[in-house]
Amino acid sequence: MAALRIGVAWSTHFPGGGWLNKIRYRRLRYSYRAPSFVAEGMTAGGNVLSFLRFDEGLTLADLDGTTTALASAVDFFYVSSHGTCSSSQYKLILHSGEWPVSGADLGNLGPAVATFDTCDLVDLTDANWQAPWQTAGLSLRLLLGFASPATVAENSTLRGREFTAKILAGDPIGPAWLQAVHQNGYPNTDQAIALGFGDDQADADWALHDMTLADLRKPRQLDTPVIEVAVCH
Amino acid sequence: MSLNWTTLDPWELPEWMYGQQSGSDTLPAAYALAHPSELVAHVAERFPARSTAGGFSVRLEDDERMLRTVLGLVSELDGRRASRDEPAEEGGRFGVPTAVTAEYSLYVDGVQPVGPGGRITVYGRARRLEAAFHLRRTRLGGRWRDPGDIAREALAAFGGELTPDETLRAAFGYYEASGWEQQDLLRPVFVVLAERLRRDDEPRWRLASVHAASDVDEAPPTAGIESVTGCA
Repeated sequence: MAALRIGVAWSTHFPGGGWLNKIRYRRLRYSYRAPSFVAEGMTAGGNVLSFLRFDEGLTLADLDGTTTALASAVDFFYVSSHGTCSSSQYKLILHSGEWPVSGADLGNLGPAVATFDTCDLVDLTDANWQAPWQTAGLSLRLLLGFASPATVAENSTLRGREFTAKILAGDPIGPAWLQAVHQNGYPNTDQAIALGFGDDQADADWALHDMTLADLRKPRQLDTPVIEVAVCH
Repeated sequence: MSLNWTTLDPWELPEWMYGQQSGSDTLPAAYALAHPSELVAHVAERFPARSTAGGFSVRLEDDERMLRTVLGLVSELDGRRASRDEPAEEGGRFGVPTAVTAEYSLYVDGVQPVGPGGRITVYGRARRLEAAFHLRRTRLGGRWRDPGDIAREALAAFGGELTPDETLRAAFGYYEASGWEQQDLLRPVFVVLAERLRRDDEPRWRLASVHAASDVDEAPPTAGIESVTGCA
Protein backbone atom coordinates (compact mmCIF):
# COMPACT_ATOMS: atom_id res chain seq x y z
CA MET A 1 0.00 0.00 0.00
CA ALA A 2 1.39 3.42 -0.96
CA ALA A 3 2.14 5.72 1.97
CA LEU A 4 -0.76 7.99 2.85
CA ARG A 5 -0.42 11.69 3.66
CA ILE A 6 -1.61 12.34 7.21
CA GLY A 7 -2.54 15.68 8.77
CA VAL A 8 -3.41 16.18 12.44
CA ALA A 9 -4.33 19.26 14.44
CA TRP A 10 -5.83 20.34 17.76
CA SER A 11 -6.69 23.30 19.93
CA THR A 12 -6.44 23.21 23.70
CA HIS A 13 -7.31 26.79 24.69
CA PHE A 14 -9.25 29.60 23.13
CA PRO A 15 -8.13 33.12 23.99
CA GLY A 16 -9.10 34.61 20.61
CA GLY A 17 -12.16 36.85 20.67
CA GLY A 18 -11.47 38.22 24.12
CA TRP A 19 -12.74 37.38 27.57
CA LEU A 20 -16.13 36.16 26.36
CA ASN A 21 -14.61 33.26 24.44
CA LYS A 22 -12.64 32.23 27.50
CA ILE A 23 -15.98 31.68 29.21
CA ARG A 24 -17.76 30.20 26.18
CA TYR A 25 -15.05 27.71 25.34
CA ARG A 26 -13.78 25.60 28.21
CA ARG A 27 -10.13 24.70 28.01
CA LEU A 28 -9.59 21.22 26.50
CA ARG A 29 -6.40 20.12 28.18
CA TYR A 30 -6.51 16.61 26.68
CA SER A 31 -7.48 17.47 23.11
CA TYR A 32 -3.89 16.80 22.02
CA ARG A 33 -4.14 13.11 22.89
CA ALA A 34 -6.33 11.58 20.17
CA PRO A 35 -4.61 13.36 17.25
CA SER A 36 -1.23 12.46 18.76
CA PHE A 37 -2.19 8.77 18.93
CA VAL A 38 -3.27 9.01 15.29
CA ALA A 39 -0.04 10.72 14.20
CA GLU A 40 2.16 8.28 16.10
CA GLY A 41 0.31 5.18 14.91
CA MET A 42 -0.10 6.19 11.32
CA THR A 43 3.53 7.21 10.86
CA ALA A 44 4.73 4.03 12.59
CA GLY A 45 2.55 2.25 10.05
CA GLY A 46 4.64 3.71 7.22
CA ASN A 47 2.57 6.77 6.36
CA VAL A 48 3.80 10.34 6.00
CA LEU A 49 2.93 13.10 8.47
CA SER A 50 2.32 16.10 6.21
CA PHE A 51 1.41 18.49 9.00
CA LEU A 52 0.91 18.65 12.75
CA ARG A 53 -0.55 21.98 13.84
CA PHE A 54 -1.95 23.11 17.16
CA ASP A 55 -3.17 26.12 19.12
CA GLU A 56 -1.73 29.38 17.76
CA GLY A 57 -0.09 27.39 14.95
CA LEU A 58 -3.51 26.41 13.56
CA THR A 59 -5.27 29.43 12.07
CA LEU A 60 -8.36 29.98 9.99
CA ALA A 61 -6.20 31.10 7.07
CA ASP A 62 -4.41 27.72 7.18
CA LEU A 63 -7.69 25.89 6.75
CA ASP A 64 -10.10 27.99 4.68
CA GLY A 65 -7.80 28.54 1.69
CA THR A 66 -6.81 32.13 2.48
CA THR A 67 -3.14 31.11 2.66
CA THR A 68 -3.54 27.35 2.31
CA ALA A 69 -6.13 24.60 2.73
CA LEU A 70 -4.30 22.14 4.92
CA ALA A 71 -6.99 19.45 4.93
CA SER A 72 -7.04 19.34 1.12
CA ALA A 73 -3.36 18.48 1.00
CA VAL A 74 -3.67 15.16 2.81
CA ASP A 75 -5.46 11.82 2.43
CA PHE A 76 -6.36 11.50 6.10
CA PHE A 77 -7.23 14.50 8.27
CA TYR A 78 -7.87 14.37 12.04
CA VAL A 79 -8.60 17.42 14.19
CA SER A 80 -9.69 17.77 17.82
CA SER A 81 -11.15 20.90 19.39
CA HIS A 82 -14.50 22.48 20.25
CA GLY A 83 -17.18 22.32 17.58
CA THR A 84 -20.70 23.68 17.25
CA CYS A 85 -23.60 23.05 14.92
CA SER A 86 -26.44 25.53 14.54
CA SER A 87 -28.94 25.84 11.66
CA SER A 88 -27.10 23.03 9.83
CA GLN A 89 -23.80 24.94 9.97
CA TYR A 90 -20.91 23.17 11.65
CA LYS A 91 -18.06 25.33 12.96
CA LEU A 92 -14.66 24.14 14.12
CA ILE A 93 -13.49 26.38 16.95
CA LEU A 94 -9.82 27.36 16.74
CA HIS A 95 -7.42 28.94 19.22
CA SER A 96 -8.28 32.23 17.49
CA GLY A 97 -11.29 32.16 15.22
CA GLU A 98 -13.88 29.75 13.89
CA TRP A 99 -13.88 27.70 10.68
CA PRO A 100 -17.39 27.26 9.21
CA VAL A 101 -16.93 23.90 7.51
CA SER A 102 -19.09 22.49 4.74
CA GLY A 103 -18.61 19.83 2.12
CA ALA A 104 -17.19 22.39 -0.28
CA ASP A 105 -14.18 22.78 2.01
CA LEU A 106 -13.32 19.08 1.86
CA GLY A 107 -12.45 16.61 -0.85
CA ASN A 108 -11.46 18.82 -3.77
CA LEU A 109 -7.97 17.33 -3.78
CA GLY A 110 -8.22 15.65 -0.40
CA PRO A 111 -8.85 14.37 2.16
CA ALA A 112 -10.52 11.00 1.60
CA VAL A 113 -11.21 10.69 5.33
CA ALA A 114 -11.87 13.70 7.58
CA THR A 115 -12.37 13.24 11.31
CA PHE A 116 -13.69 16.11 13.42
CA ASP A 117 -13.11 14.94 16.98
CA THR A 118 -15.32 17.69 18.42
CA CYS A 119 -18.84 18.11 19.71
CA ASP A 120 -21.71 18.24 17.24
CA LEU A 121 -20.45 17.68 13.71
CA VAL A 122 -24.13 17.34 12.88
CA ASP A 123 -27.42 17.99 14.68
CA LEU A 124 -29.70 15.04 13.98
CA THR A 125 -32.72 16.99 15.26
CA ASP A 126 -32.33 19.29 12.23
CA ALA A 127 -34.22 17.84 9.25
CA ASN A 128 -31.68 19.42 6.85
CA TRP A 129 -28.56 18.22 8.61
CA GLN A 130 -27.14 16.52 5.50
CA ALA A 131 -27.47 19.60 3.24
CA PRO A 132 -24.06 21.24 3.96
CA TRP A 133 -22.25 18.01 3.14
CA GLN A 134 -23.89 17.52 -0.28
CA THR A 135 -21.24 19.81 -1.78
CA ALA A 136 -18.32 17.59 -0.75
CA GLY A 137 -15.53 17.28 -3.30
CA LEU A 138 -14.92 14.04 -5.17
CA SER A 139 -12.08 12.84 -2.95
CA LEU A 140 -14.09 12.82 0.29
CA ARG A 141 -15.41 9.32 1.02
CA LEU A 142 -15.79 9.35 4.79
CA LEU A 143 -16.64 12.06 7.31
CA LEU A 144 -16.35 11.12 10.99
CA GLY A 145 -17.34 12.96 14.14
CA PHE A 146 -20.01 13.20 16.82
CA ALA A 147 -23.75 13.80 16.82
CA SER A 148 -23.56 14.81 20.49
CA PRO A 149 -21.16 16.46 22.88
CA ALA A 150 -17.79 14.69 22.80
CA THR A 151 -16.05 13.96 26.08
CA VAL A 152 -12.45 15.15 26.08
CA ALA A 153 -10.83 13.33 28.98
CA GLU A 154 -7.65 11.37 29.49
CA ASN A 155 -9.46 8.04 29.17
CA SER A 156 -12.01 8.87 26.45
CA THR A 157 -9.30 10.23 24.14
CA LEU A 158 -7.94 6.69 23.93
CA ARG A 159 -10.41 6.53 21.04
CA GLY A 160 -7.54 7.89 18.92
CA ARG A 161 -5.36 4.92 19.83
CA GLU A 162 -8.05 2.29 19.28
CA PHE A 163 -9.19 3.87 16.00
CA THR A 164 -5.65 3.91 14.62
CA ALA A 165 -4.79 0.41 15.78
CA LYS A 166 -7.91 -0.99 14.16
CA ILE A 167 -7.55 0.67 10.78
CA LEU A 168 -3.85 -0.21 10.63
CA ALA A 169 -4.88 -3.82 11.29
CA GLY A 170 -7.04 -3.62 8.16
CA ASP A 171 -10.42 -3.02 9.77
CA PRO A 172 -12.88 -0.83 7.82
CA ILE A 173 -12.45 2.82 8.82
CA GLY A 174 -16.07 3.86 9.49
CA PRO A 175 -16.89 0.99 11.87
CA ALA A 176 -13.49 1.43 13.57
CA TRP A 177 -14.39 5.04 14.44
CA LEU A 178 -17.84 4.14 15.79
CA GLN A 179 -16.35 1.33 17.88
CA ALA A 180 -13.40 3.38 19.16
CA VAL A 181 -15.65 6.16 20.45
CA HIS A 182 -18.18 3.79 21.98
CA GLN A 183 -15.60 1.54 23.64
CA ASN A 184 -13.79 4.44 25.31
CA GLY A 185 -16.79 6.52 26.33
CA TYR A 186 -18.99 6.57 29.41
CA PRO A 187 -22.26 4.65 29.05
CA ASN A 188 -25.05 6.49 27.20
CA THR A 189 -23.01 9.59 26.48
CA ASP A 190 -20.84 10.22 23.39
CA GLN A 191 -22.57 9.40 20.12
CA ALA A 192 -20.13 8.88 17.26
CA ILE A 193 -21.35 9.37 13.71
CA ALA A 194 -19.93 8.29 10.34
CA LEU A 195 -21.00 9.53 6.91
CA GLY A 196 -20.04 7.59 3.79
CA PHE A 197 -20.00 9.41 0.42
CA GLY A 198 -20.60 7.58 -2.86
CA ASP A 199 -21.88 7.84 -6.41
CA ASP A 200 -24.88 5.72 -5.55
CA GLN A 201 -26.30 4.07 -2.47
CA ALA A 202 -24.21 0.92 -2.81
CA ASP A 203 -21.02 2.96 -3.24
CA ALA A 204 -21.84 5.16 -0.22
CA ASP A 205 -22.65 2.06 1.82
CA TRP A 206 -19.28 0.58 0.83
CA ALA A 207 -17.49 3.81 1.87
CA LEU A 208 -19.29 3.81 5.21
CA HIS A 209 -18.98 0.15 6.16
CA ASP A 210 -16.20 -1.47 4.15
CA MET A 211 -13.56 1.03 3.04
CA THR A 212 -10.12 0.38 4.51
CA LEU A 213 -6.88 2.35 4.40
CA ALA A 214 -5.89 0.37 1.29
CA ASP A 215 -8.90 1.87 -0.56
CA LEU A 216 -8.35 5.51 0.24
CA ARG A 217 -7.45 6.82 -3.19
CA LYS A 218 -10.68 5.90 -4.95
CA PRO A 219 -12.49 9.21 -5.59
CA ARG A 220 -16.12 9.45 -6.58
CA GLN A 221 -17.09 10.19 -10.19
CA LEU A 222 -20.25 12.26 -9.74
CA ASP A 223 -20.46 15.79 -8.31
CA THR A 224 -23.43 15.26 -6.03
CA PRO A 225 -22.84 12.47 -3.53
CA VAL A 226 -25.20 9.97 -2.06
CA ILE A 227 -24.64 9.91 1.71
CA GLU A 228 -25.07 6.88 3.95
CA VAL A 229 -24.85 7.34 7.71
CA ALA A 230 -24.51 5.35 10.92
CA VAL A 231 -24.12 6.20 14.61
CA CYS A 232 -22.59 4.07 17.33
CA HIS A 233 -25.73 3.72 19.47
CA MET B 1 -30.69 -2.26 32.49
CA SER B 2 -28.69 0.61 31.04
CA LEU B 3 -26.97 3.23 33.15
CA ASN B 4 -29.16 6.13 34.23
CA TRP B 5 -27.37 9.35 35.07
CA THR B 6 -28.88 11.51 37.82
CA THR B 7 -29.13 15.24 37.09
CA LEU B 8 -28.28 17.34 40.12
CA ASP B 9 -27.74 20.91 41.24
CA PRO B 10 -24.22 21.30 42.61
CA TRP B 11 -25.52 21.84 46.17
CA GLU B 12 -27.39 18.51 45.97
CA LEU B 13 -24.27 16.51 45.20
CA PRO B 14 -23.09 15.67 48.78
CA GLU B 15 -26.57 14.60 49.88
CA TRP B 16 -27.05 12.49 46.75
CA MET B 17 -23.66 10.84 47.32
CA TYR B 18 -24.56 10.14 50.93
CA GLY B 19 -27.84 8.61 49.73
CA GLN B 20 -25.97 6.28 47.37
CA GLN B 21 -23.65 5.19 50.17
CA SER B 22 -26.35 4.70 52.80
CA GLY B 23 -28.57 2.90 50.28
CA SER B 24 -25.99 0.15 49.88
CA ASP B 25 -26.47 -2.79 52.24
CA THR B 26 -22.72 -3.17 52.56
CA LEU B 27 -19.69 -1.29 51.37
CA PRO B 28 -18.87 -2.60 47.88
CA ALA B 29 -15.48 -4.26 48.04
CA ALA B 30 -12.51 -3.19 45.97
CA TYR B 31 -10.57 -5.83 44.06
CA ALA B 32 -6.97 -6.17 43.00
CA LEU B 33 -7.03 -7.15 39.33
CA ALA B 34 -5.09 -9.88 37.57
CA HIS B 35 -2.49 -9.12 34.96
CA PRO B 36 -4.10 -8.95 31.48
CA SER B 37 -2.01 -11.90 30.32
CA GLU B 38 -4.23 -14.19 32.44
CA LEU B 39 -7.34 -13.24 30.52
CA VAL B 40 -5.44 -13.48 27.24
CA ALA B 41 -4.38 -17.04 28.09
CA HIS B 42 -7.92 -18.11 28.98
CA VAL B 43 -9.34 -16.62 25.78
CA ALA B 44 -6.61 -18.11 23.59
CA GLU B 45 -7.56 -21.59 24.84
CA ARG B 46 -11.13 -21.14 23.62
CA PHE B 47 -11.26 -19.06 20.42
CA PRO B 48 -9.13 -16.76 18.24
CA ALA B 49 -9.25 -13.15 19.44
CA ARG B 50 -7.37 -9.88 19.25
CA SER B 51 -6.23 -9.06 22.79
CA THR B 52 -5.84 -5.62 24.31
CA ALA B 53 -4.67 -4.34 27.70
CA GLY B 54 -8.05 -4.92 29.32
CA GLY B 55 -10.13 -7.04 27.02
CA PHE B 56 -10.38 -8.67 23.64
CA SER B 57 -12.05 -8.36 20.27
CA VAL B 58 -13.58 -11.25 18.33
CA ARG B 59 -14.55 -11.57 14.68
CA LEU B 60 -18.11 -12.87 14.63
CA GLU B 61 -19.26 -15.71 12.42
CA ASP B 62 -22.22 -16.84 14.52
CA ASP B 63 -23.36 -13.92 16.71
CA GLU B 64 -25.54 -15.81 19.16
CA ARG B 65 -23.17 -18.70 19.70
CA MET B 66 -20.13 -16.46 20.28
CA LEU B 67 -22.10 -14.13 22.55
CA ARG B 68 -23.16 -17.11 24.68
CA THR B 69 -19.55 -18.32 24.76
CA VAL B 70 -18.20 -14.94 25.89
CA LEU B 71 -20.92 -14.39 28.49
CA GLY B 72 -20.21 -17.89 29.79
CA LEU B 73 -16.52 -17.04 29.98
CA VAL B 74 -17.23 -13.88 31.99
CA SER B 75 -19.37 -15.85 34.43
CA GLU B 76 -16.96 -18.77 34.70
CA LEU B 77 -13.77 -16.74 35.12
CA ASP B 78 -15.05 -13.78 37.11
CA GLY B 79 -18.49 -14.68 38.47
CA ARG B 80 -20.14 -11.65 36.96
CA ARG B 81 -23.80 -11.16 36.17
CA ALA B 82 -24.40 -9.77 32.70
CA SER B 83 -27.40 -7.53 32.13
CA ARG B 84 -28.57 -6.57 28.65
CA ASP B 85 -28.70 -2.78 28.17
CA GLU B 86 -31.30 -0.71 26.46
CA PRO B 87 -29.51 2.21 24.79
CA ALA B 88 -30.76 5.56 26.06
CA GLU B 89 -29.48 7.80 23.26
CA GLU B 90 -30.12 5.57 20.31
CA GLY B 91 -29.67 7.05 16.84
CA GLY B 92 -32.60 4.94 15.76
CA ARG B 93 -35.01 7.61 16.93
CA PHE B 94 -33.63 9.85 14.15
CA GLY B 95 -33.88 7.06 11.59
CA VAL B 96 -30.12 6.50 11.62
CA PRO B 97 -28.83 2.92 11.81
CA THR B 98 -26.82 2.06 14.91
CA ALA B 99 -23.56 0.12 14.91
CA VAL B 100 -24.20 -1.43 18.34
CA THR B 101 -26.76 -4.21 18.07
CA ALA B 102 -26.46 -5.64 21.58
CA GLU B 103 -24.71 -4.62 24.76
CA TYR B 104 -24.32 -6.17 28.20
CA SER B 105 -23.17 -4.51 31.43
CA LEU B 106 -21.10 -6.73 33.69
CA TYR B 107 -22.18 -6.22 37.30
CA VAL B 108 -19.80 -6.79 40.20
CA ASP B 109 -21.48 -7.94 43.42
CA GLY B 110 -24.72 -6.46 42.10
CA VAL B 111 -23.18 -3.04 41.44
CA GLN B 112 -23.26 -1.53 37.93
CA PRO B 113 -20.22 -0.52 35.87
CA VAL B 114 -19.99 3.25 35.26
CA GLY B 115 -16.77 3.55 33.27
CA PRO B 116 -15.99 2.72 29.65
CA GLY B 117 -15.30 -0.92 30.55
CA GLY B 118 -17.25 -3.70 32.21
CA ARG B 119 -19.17 -4.28 28.98
CA ILE B 120 -19.68 -6.80 26.21
CA THR B 121 -20.69 -5.07 22.98
CA VAL B 122 -21.84 -6.61 19.71
CA TYR B 123 -21.43 -4.66 16.46
CA GLY B 124 -23.70 -6.67 14.19
CA ARG B 125 -23.01 -5.18 10.75
CA ALA B 126 -19.25 -5.07 11.44
CA ARG B 127 -19.36 -8.73 12.61
CA ARG B 128 -17.36 -7.90 15.73
CA LEU B 129 -17.73 -8.45 19.50
CA GLU B 130 -15.77 -6.28 21.92
CA ALA B 131 -15.23 -7.39 25.52
CA ALA B 132 -13.81 -4.95 28.08
CA PHE B 133 -13.36 -6.47 31.51
CA HIS B 134 -10.61 -7.39 33.92
CA LEU B 135 -10.29 -10.52 36.04
CA ARG B 136 -10.59 -9.92 39.78
CA ARG B 137 -8.22 -11.45 42.30
CA THR B 138 -7.88 -10.27 45.92
CA ARG B 139 -10.86 -8.73 47.71
CA LEU B 140 -9.85 -5.61 49.64
CA GLY B 141 -11.61 -4.01 52.57
CA GLY B 142 -12.15 -0.34 53.21
CA ARG B 143 -14.53 2.33 54.41
CA TRP B 144 -16.78 4.95 52.84
CA ARG B 145 -15.25 8.33 52.19
CA ASP B 146 -16.98 11.45 53.49
CA PRO B 147 -19.50 12.51 50.80
CA GLY B 148 -18.83 16.19 51.51
CA ASP B 149 -15.15 15.71 50.71
CA ILE B 150 -15.97 13.80 47.53
CA ALA B 151 -18.44 16.43 46.35
CA ARG B 152 -15.96 19.24 46.98
CA GLU B 153 -13.33 17.29 45.07
CA ALA B 154 -15.71 16.73 42.16
CA LEU B 155 -16.80 20.35 41.89
CA ALA B 156 -13.21 21.56 42.20
CA ALA B 157 -12.36 19.38 39.21
CA PHE B 158 -14.68 21.56 37.12
CA GLY B 159 -13.31 24.86 38.35
CA GLY B 160 -15.46 25.19 41.45
CA GLU B 161 -18.71 26.45 39.94
CA LEU B 162 -21.14 25.95 37.10
CA THR B 163 -23.16 28.59 35.27
CA PRO B 164 -26.98 28.27 35.19
CA ASP B 165 -26.99 26.72 31.70
CA GLU B 166 -24.46 24.04 32.64
CA THR B 167 -25.64 20.64 33.86
CA LEU B 168 -24.23 18.29 36.46
CA ARG B 169 -24.95 14.55 36.15
CA ALA B 170 -23.60 11.76 38.29
CA ALA B 171 -23.61 7.98 38.66
CA PHE B 172 -22.37 5.52 41.27
CA GLY B 173 -20.81 2.17 40.53
CA TYR B 174 -17.56 0.39 39.70
CA TYR B 175 -15.09 2.17 37.47
CA GLU B 176 -13.69 -0.23 34.92
CA ALA B 177 -11.34 1.12 32.27
CA SER B 178 -11.72 0.47 28.56
CA GLY B 179 -10.08 -2.47 26.87
CA TRP B 180 -7.22 -0.17 25.94
CA GLU B 181 -6.09 0.56 29.49
CA GLN B 182 -4.34 -1.67 31.95
CA GLN B 183 -5.97 -1.40 35.37
CA ASP B 184 -4.77 -2.92 38.63
CA LEU B 185 -7.60 -2.05 41.03
CA LEU B 186 -11.37 -2.14 40.63
CA ARG B 187 -13.12 0.16 43.09
CA PRO B 188 -16.49 1.85 43.71
CA VAL B 189 -16.58 5.43 42.45
CA PHE B 190 -18.72 8.40 41.68
CA VAL B 191 -18.52 9.57 38.05
CA VAL B 192 -19.53 13.19 37.62
CA LEU B 193 -20.22 14.87 34.28
CA ALA B 194 -20.27 18.64 33.80
CA GLU B 195 -22.00 19.48 30.54
CA ARG B 196 -23.45 22.24 28.49
CA LEU B 197 -26.25 20.46 26.64
CA ARG B 198 -28.53 23.25 25.44
CA ARG B 199 -28.79 23.58 21.65
CA ASP B 200 -28.30 27.23 20.66
CA ASP B 201 -25.52 29.32 19.11
CA GLU B 202 -23.19 28.56 22.01
CA PRO B 203 -20.97 25.46 21.99
CA ARG B 204 -21.96 22.30 23.82
CA TRP B 205 -19.36 20.29 25.72
CA ARG B 206 -18.88 17.50 28.24
CA LEU B 207 -16.22 17.10 30.93
CA ALA B 208 -15.90 14.04 33.15
CA SER B 209 -14.32 13.38 36.52
CA VAL B 210 -14.10 10.21 38.60
CA HIS B 211 -13.76 10.06 42.39
CA ALA B 212 -13.19 7.17 44.77
CA ALA B 213 -16.29 6.45 46.87
CA SER B 214 -14.31 4.58 49.51
CA ASP B 215 -10.87 4.40 51.01
CA VAL B 216 -9.28 1.07 50.26
CA ASP B 217 -6.87 -0.63 52.66
CA GLU B 218 -3.30 -0.49 51.41
CA ALA B 219 -4.13 1.51 48.29
CA PRO B 220 -3.82 5.23 47.52
CA PRO B 221 -7.05 7.16 46.80
CA THR B 222 -6.31 7.34 43.08
CA ALA B 223 -5.41 3.66 42.62
CA GLY B 224 -7.37 2.16 39.76
CA ILE B 225 -8.54 5.55 38.53
CA GLU B 226 -5.21 7.23 37.87
CA SER B 227 -6.14 8.30 34.36
CA VAL B 228 -9.50 9.80 35.25
CA THR B 229 -9.13 11.76 38.47
CA GLY B 230 -9.06 15.51 38.24
CA CYS B 231 -10.53 17.82 35.66
CA ALA B 232 -11.00 16.47 32.19
